Amino acid sequence: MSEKSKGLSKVEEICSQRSGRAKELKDEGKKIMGYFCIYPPLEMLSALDLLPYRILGDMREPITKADACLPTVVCPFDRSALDLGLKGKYDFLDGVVWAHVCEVGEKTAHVWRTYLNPAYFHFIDIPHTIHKPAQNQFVQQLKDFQKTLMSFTGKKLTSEMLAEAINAHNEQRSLVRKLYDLRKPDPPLISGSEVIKTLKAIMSLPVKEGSELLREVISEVGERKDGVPFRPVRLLIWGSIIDDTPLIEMMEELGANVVMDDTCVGSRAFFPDVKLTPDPLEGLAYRYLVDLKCPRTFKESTYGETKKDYLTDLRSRFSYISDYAKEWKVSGVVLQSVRYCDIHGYEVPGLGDYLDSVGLPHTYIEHTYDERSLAPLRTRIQAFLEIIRS
Amino acid sequence: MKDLGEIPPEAPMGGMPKPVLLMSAGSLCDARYKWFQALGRYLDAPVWVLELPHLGVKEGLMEGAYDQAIRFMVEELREFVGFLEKLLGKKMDWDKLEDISNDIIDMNRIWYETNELRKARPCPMHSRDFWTCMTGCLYPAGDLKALKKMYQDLYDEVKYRVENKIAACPNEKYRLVFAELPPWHSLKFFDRLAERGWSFVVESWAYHPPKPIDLSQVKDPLERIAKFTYQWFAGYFEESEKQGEQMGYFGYPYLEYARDWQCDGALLHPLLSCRTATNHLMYVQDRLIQKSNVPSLVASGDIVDLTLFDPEDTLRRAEAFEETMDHYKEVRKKEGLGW
Repeated sequence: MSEKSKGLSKVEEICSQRSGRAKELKDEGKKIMGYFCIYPPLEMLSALDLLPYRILGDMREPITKADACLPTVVCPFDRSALDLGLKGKYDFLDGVVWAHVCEVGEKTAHVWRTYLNPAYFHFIDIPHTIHKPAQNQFVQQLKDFQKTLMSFTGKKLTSEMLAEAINAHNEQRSLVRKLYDLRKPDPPLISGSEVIKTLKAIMSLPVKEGSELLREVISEVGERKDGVPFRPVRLLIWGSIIDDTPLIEMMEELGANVVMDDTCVGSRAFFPDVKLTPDPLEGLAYRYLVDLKCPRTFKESTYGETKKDYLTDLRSRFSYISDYAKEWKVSGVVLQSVRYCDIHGYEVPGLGDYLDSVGLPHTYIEHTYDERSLAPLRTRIQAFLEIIRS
Repeated sequence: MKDLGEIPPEAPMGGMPKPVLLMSAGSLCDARYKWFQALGRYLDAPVWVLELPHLGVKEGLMEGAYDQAIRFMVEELREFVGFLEKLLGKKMDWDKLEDISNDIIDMNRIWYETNELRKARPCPMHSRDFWTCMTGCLYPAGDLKALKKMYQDLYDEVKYRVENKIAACPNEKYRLVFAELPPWHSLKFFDRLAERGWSFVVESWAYHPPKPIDLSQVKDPLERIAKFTYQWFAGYFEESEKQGEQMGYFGYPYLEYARDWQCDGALLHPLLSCRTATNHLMYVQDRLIQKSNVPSLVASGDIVDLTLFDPEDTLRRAEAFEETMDHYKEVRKKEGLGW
């Protein structure tokens, strides 16, 4: 990696060769731990001086190897990530931690473990509810994770080390929130594409290095005079993973600024902090199980409610989205999902009803996590933007 | 129903009454709980999601993991009982629960032993009968004593057939394992394969009863339910781990089935609209051929969109697949695999 590059140019550099820095650090003796989705607690990795490296797919690369072990009718993102693994693109990882994020994700874990056989692999079985026993179970799961991590690294993981790592990750989250503040002006100071690239870059760096990069980007963007052009529509994009820019760029080309997101290479992964608790694992468990807002976890307005009120239920699940919409002055919401994503697909009718109830225009698009599948969506996005403008 | 304000008058068998509760589980598939959550659009019934841990193979075998999983399940069940009492305004009848849980456990044991009898050559009971009979154990409802008697009668009948070498499929030529959900709309398809000498001797892991364990010393009925349910999930994990297999359920059981039921091939049925019944099938196909020299025929379909399953095409492919099964029978013989 170039010594001189800073801020957004450094982000570009990292994204063009995402594993570059990790490989440099590996050469210096650091262990690189791949993780899948946003549920493995990164603090536990950072505390043991492991580099948490997010396993992503590549929507620009055709899937050629994964067909042999994951059928075509399951999540194309999971298939793409596995495909990269099978092609050796994650061979630099010293180990992998996977969580039971969704059903296909869980099966992909076992397939990954079988075919790629990493030196270290740990699977965390995240509960599906936020019931109190489920929270306790998750703490126990983290204790098991702690045991295998300590055995793998040969180091003891103390509460103090964890607290320090929690602070470092919380600091990074606070910087991401500051980055998102730069999307609030009209026009925003930073584009949706630049945000995705920045977050993708920091998901490939040690936490403190990532925070330093964020500071540089925030400083650079804060001083911008002509960064992002004015566009008449301000969009919030919700849904399953977006880890590359073509979809956002298409919306920008059609006359919208994507000013907010609720996706997992986005606010969903970074907004909630971890509270420091006497046993740090409890704070971690609460943040990752209760505070993260992925539809993979079942939540209800009142625990143990015996009568369901639809609108109350929707408000309890989705009101944060209208809060985002107000704060980022959003004029429309694009609900998007990769095809065959059950957890997001089931969410769409209810979320659509909720957005209707608060008067936010919305549309739903589905794609197959490749550039080809975006072209037919162009007309639909164009029509949606016209509706908003009218 | 919501639009009409009543059960549609033309609904089959008078329609399904409006539920007071939607109960699902956070296990196996996401659709189970997400679907019920989405039903809130039409029903004001509360949803209760019961937790069931399913750890990866290795993690599930870590020291203390089993006890912790059972504790978690028991706590969850206790919460659920409290919720039910609040919802229904009456107290749990623990004696009745005791009786019901014992009947279910016993019924599953009988059903397990019945399926064990299908290891015989010729196989005494065909998959089609399995699919007809599995609902009683999987979704126990109604008079459990009568149901248990039905399973006992079934066991006796299958045993009689084994002792008298009565084949479910005359001229059993090929023994096969089937996975996962069958084409309900085209079950006759199995009869046409049976005419070719294809005998489906075992099938879909998730619809089979758990390997029996002794629960007679477990006093708390909730703990008994928890252990029984966890066994259904994790009963193959230990053996799977010994074999170095990483998918202790959905994946590994098929290796055991192929070996113990002496299968010549597998018919795998991926479904477009069901991830659970599909996402492990390529893996299963690979493990079966790599570890046991058992080839698979993949016939895609769906149980929602019936046009996706083409029985005629599958039958044509079945003819060619017989040569593949013949070839691998020779390979297994050479490698001393025993069938």
